[in-house]
Amino acid sequence: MLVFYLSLIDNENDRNLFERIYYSYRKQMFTVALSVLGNKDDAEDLVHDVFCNVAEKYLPTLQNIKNEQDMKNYLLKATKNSALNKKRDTKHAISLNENETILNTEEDISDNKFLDMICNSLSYQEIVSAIKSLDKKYEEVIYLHFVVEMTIPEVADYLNRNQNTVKKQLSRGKMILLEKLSLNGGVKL
Amino acid sequence: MTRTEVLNAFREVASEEFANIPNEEDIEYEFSERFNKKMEKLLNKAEHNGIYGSAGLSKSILAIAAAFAIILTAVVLFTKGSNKPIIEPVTDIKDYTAHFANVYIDQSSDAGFGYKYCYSSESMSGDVGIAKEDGSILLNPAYVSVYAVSENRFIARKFIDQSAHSALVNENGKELIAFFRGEIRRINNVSDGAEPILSVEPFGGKAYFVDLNGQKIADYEFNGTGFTENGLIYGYTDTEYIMFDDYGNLLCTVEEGKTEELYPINDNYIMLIKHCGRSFKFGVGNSEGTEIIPCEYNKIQLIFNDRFVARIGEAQSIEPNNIVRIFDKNGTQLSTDGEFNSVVFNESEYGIACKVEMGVIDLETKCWLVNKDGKKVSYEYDSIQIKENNEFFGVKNNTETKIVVLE
Repeated sequence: MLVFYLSLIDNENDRNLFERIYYSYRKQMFTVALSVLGNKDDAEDLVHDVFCNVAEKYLPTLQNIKNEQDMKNYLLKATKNSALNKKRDTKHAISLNENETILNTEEDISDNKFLDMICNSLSYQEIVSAIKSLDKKYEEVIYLHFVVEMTIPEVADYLNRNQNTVKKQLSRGKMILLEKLSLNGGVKL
Repeated sequence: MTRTEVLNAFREVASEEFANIPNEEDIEYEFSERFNKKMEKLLNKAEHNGIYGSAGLSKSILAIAAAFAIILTAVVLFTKGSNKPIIEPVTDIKDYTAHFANVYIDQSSDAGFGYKYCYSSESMSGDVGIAKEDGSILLNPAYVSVYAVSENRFIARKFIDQSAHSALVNENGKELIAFFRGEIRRINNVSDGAEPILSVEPFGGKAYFVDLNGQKIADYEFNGTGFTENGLIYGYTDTEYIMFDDYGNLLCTVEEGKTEELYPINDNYIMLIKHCGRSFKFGVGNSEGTEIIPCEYNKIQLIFNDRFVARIGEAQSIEPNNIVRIFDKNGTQLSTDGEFNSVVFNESEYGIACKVEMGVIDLETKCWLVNKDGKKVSYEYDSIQIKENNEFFGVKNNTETKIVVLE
């Protein structure tokens, strides 16, 4: 009985969260969609589709996001990715990513060890610079996994990539970042 | 360095991707009715049943569930309240202008009308308030968002019971419209001196217009409200659209698919309006009541008292599928379809015409000066702008030159 009632409360929270993000971000999402699609009607349709996805599967993740900037990044990125997928051939994009996974053979470094090693780096600005120099696909996977605290399946679904691809990109991204920081003398590999 | 700082570094880089997106309240965009209706269905579906849980639960069950949760684990606040905003007369004024300690003003911000945003956090995040340029605090940081719609009038937003609530507050923090679940927004274009008109939109209720004191304008309630590119504001019911000008004066009522006379352009012409499907379309009638330009256009502009420039397509951007036509005083088309995607005349005898086409990477724009018949009177440029003394300057391959008219 308790579980049933608590599940109701969870749903009430989901509903309120959905309403909150709708009123707080819909115009920004529209702006992002319009910048990609170039057409107002398509942009509106896309924003509605994103909200449908939010309602159907993303709310549990959003409930866990406490930082408002992360919430904004999550929603705007979802919008941008959806818009880009609408424009291009997503099947082709996915198959490219799958090809990439075959080439990755590095041993994975644990998340805790990765963060500990970065914490010993030289300065905040040097970390920021190193992150900026990362390929976008690694940077966004690392951000979603470490900052937004999404699991690999959640990241894969969100970015419309294969789970194995995301796992390899996360592993490779961590190594590349550490290599960049070690070149600056901030991390000892 | 701490892990928090490392994660902040990732957050900072990730946030740069959208750094140029304006704040939500600074984006002036009117969603279409089609979108609003779809979202209303989605929101109502979320409220009543189907997305998350069991359907058809009464409020009493939710109240029991809430009480149960309070007793056992969580703190849940359940309030039953009216969605109808309460308009209160300004009688007692609370002193919100006392300067709280630890309020930080973001001097680089723009809250409208010369105001700045202020925060209770040095990181300039979290609850926001309003400060004056002289550094004094007008509204303490107590809102999720707040911005000025005129001097001493602000639309503030809070989350109450995790629902978005809005209020109209004055410079003393007094709620001229008390917080209610829903939205308030400025609805009219004030550039021509009109006082701001606000649209009050209770969640699940009827919308209506108010002035800056929160007093109702026009005795109408609508399913929704909006504004057109031409500066008209409107409210719609199940069967009709009620059109107002910038000042809130009633112009006409439009039924779906029917053409109506909107307002006189001058002694000789009348602007016509029609609502079909998703949007309003405009046309022109003469003094005898004959339609000389059909109601097919998003915008029509009279130039030189004997020419009309009419556009099919949105104003937000010049798009390849925009159509521009120039008509004479009798409604005879002078221009060639497909030649331009945009033609704009201001006070000069020449207009700036643009054509956009998809290039290798992005849209490419070509511009010319045109006369009132739509004929090109200059060479092609990448962009043209008009400067002082109505002189035109064109940019071609990053070089700016003064344009010499060819005719």
